[in-house]
Amino acid sequence: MSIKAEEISALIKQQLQGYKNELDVEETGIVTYVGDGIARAHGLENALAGELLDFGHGVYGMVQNLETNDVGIMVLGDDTGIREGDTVKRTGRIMEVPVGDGMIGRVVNAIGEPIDGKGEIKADGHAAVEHKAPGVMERQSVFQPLQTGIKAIDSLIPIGRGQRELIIGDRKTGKTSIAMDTIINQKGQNMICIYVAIGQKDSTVRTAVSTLEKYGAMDYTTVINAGPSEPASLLYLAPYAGATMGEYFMHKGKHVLIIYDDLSKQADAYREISLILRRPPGREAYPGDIFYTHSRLLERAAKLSDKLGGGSMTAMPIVQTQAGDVSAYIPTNVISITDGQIFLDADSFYSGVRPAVDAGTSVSRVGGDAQIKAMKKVAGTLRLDLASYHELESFAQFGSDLDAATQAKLNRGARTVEVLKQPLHSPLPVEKQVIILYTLDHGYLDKVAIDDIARYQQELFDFFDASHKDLLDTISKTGDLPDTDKLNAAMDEFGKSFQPSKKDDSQQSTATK
Amino acid sequence: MDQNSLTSAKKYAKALFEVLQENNQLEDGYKELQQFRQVFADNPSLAAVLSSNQTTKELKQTLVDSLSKGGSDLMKNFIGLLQTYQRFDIASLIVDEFEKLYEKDKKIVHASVTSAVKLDDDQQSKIADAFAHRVGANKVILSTKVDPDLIGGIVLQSSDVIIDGSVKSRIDKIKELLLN
Repeated sequence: MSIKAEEISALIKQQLQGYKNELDVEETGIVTYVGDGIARAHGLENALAGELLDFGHGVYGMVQNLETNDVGIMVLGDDTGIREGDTVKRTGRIMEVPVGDGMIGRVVNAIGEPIDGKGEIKADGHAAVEHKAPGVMERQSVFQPLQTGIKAIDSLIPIGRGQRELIIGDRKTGKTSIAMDTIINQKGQNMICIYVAIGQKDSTVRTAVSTLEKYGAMDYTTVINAGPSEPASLLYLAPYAGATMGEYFMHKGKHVLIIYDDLSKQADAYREISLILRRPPGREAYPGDIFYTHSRLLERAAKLSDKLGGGSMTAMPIVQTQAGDVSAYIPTNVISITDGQIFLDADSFYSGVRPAVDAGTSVSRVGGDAQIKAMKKVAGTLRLDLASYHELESFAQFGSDLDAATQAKLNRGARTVEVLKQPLHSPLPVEKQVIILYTLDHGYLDKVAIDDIARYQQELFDFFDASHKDLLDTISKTGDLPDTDKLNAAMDEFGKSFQPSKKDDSQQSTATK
Repeated sequence: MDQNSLTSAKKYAKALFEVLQENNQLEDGYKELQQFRQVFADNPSLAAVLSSNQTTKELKQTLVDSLSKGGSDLMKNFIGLLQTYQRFDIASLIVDEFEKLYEKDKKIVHASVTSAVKLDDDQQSKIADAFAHRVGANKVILSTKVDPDLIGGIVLQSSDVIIDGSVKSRIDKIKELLLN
């Protein structure tokens, strides 16, 4: 290979076109304090709140506090290179992240730089991380369903596109798994997913990315990672950066699902910054504006009006509780901001009911409008069934002489719990969810032994796939139940061919009707 | 220098400035205050002795008396005030802040010029005039520095603003442009 002088000089000429020979007029300040990711600087009289400052050698900061004699700065990056007495320059810009189609399928950090080793990102442009949420007239009510593929959620706590649904629970109760399954189920649903990992172990994020890759979900997903070893300022900014990347697609009329995993850690990071900046601590030592921190973030999720293209951004924030305490500060805040919550119960998780969705305390305030008709019909009594089952469950442990009605309720309840169980990373399409819930609702399952239900469900799906594809298609196309006679006939046909595994046991446990 | 002393110094300086302005004694007062500051600069231990609890009242009084000897009434009052409120530790800070207010009022600007080679008087006055015109000042007090690292051109710094017209920064800019 030889060096071609002409080509090189042409290249250099092109690069130098941007150079303008003019005087640099800069406003500067002197660093008087630096440490713990925070710097203070004298001067900078005209600096604005939120403005980006240049510390030189590639380190930037964001103005947080404007005080009488100095400004408090959050350092975005490594602060070890900054010394007392250094100059810091104003840039006149605010923090921006790259946005565009090039972000899809990539793993980036909180400032939008790639960290997946797949080379440079070709962004369509840059957008400010802090952005005002759409106003009243720019929105419309939520009416399209977002299918999570999880029976317990799609039937009991339906989520609509543009909704904000909180996932809350203790550590290790499957919060991230629900988020992952939801992303996996968006394949072919015309949805772009953004997964923001805040303070999650880098190894956990690596596993999550591998899972998404394995199920082909990275084709429509962006992962933003602010790991625990990064400065608190980046953990604080990551969700806003994610929201900005999502908004770009939303304003193009596309549908976006964004997951913030998790906001408790973001609140902790912001608390750290605020305390070091000497802002007064409030409840649980969180700063006074912690509510606004979360409300302005989640308000950016929206279903845009048709005039603006009808795009949507559905937010699923995750919040961790300590020992099931939902009355702590951050959980109550985020519960009141969101349009509902999926509460995960540690006890049921360990007793094998997975996903451990607590049907009693989980709600969805707007998603009901977005549920398809067929699902509404089969899931109508589900919540009541579960509630009365849990009520009677404790009684049933004492007495053996129960009347037939109570027995029936207990049986139905036990089967409902069993049907709603679902293994990891196996989301179900909505028509299949409707079929299995239909068998439950119409008593077909009452004769099946509890241990057989999982097998019954699998064989039922195979049977429908093989012989009654038309019925499944009707549900997915029209959104309504197919002709009941046809459906019942198919169910009866399958019921006859199904072989219970242990006849004797099943007789005992289902000794009713 | 912590935050609170700077804040209080600003308050004392503002009061001092307003009183002098009302009595039309700005010029005299300014000169007097500069001398007052000089005393503290020449005797670094003075402020410490005056604000220490270990110093006897009598010694403090003698020192204060000699400080205010020959001063104007206003100056004497000012020193008396500092003694009452035990604020001698920020005395020179107050004068600094007063100087800022005074210069702002008289539209006097300080600027430091760094150049690769030594500037002659003509060049200096040209720079001073140009800068005065730019910021609308009556007078520019220039201090000069020579830094061969700049290669050529000058860098002018005035309070928060840096105007960089050096060859070094231009080369740096081109370097950045080519590397990206």
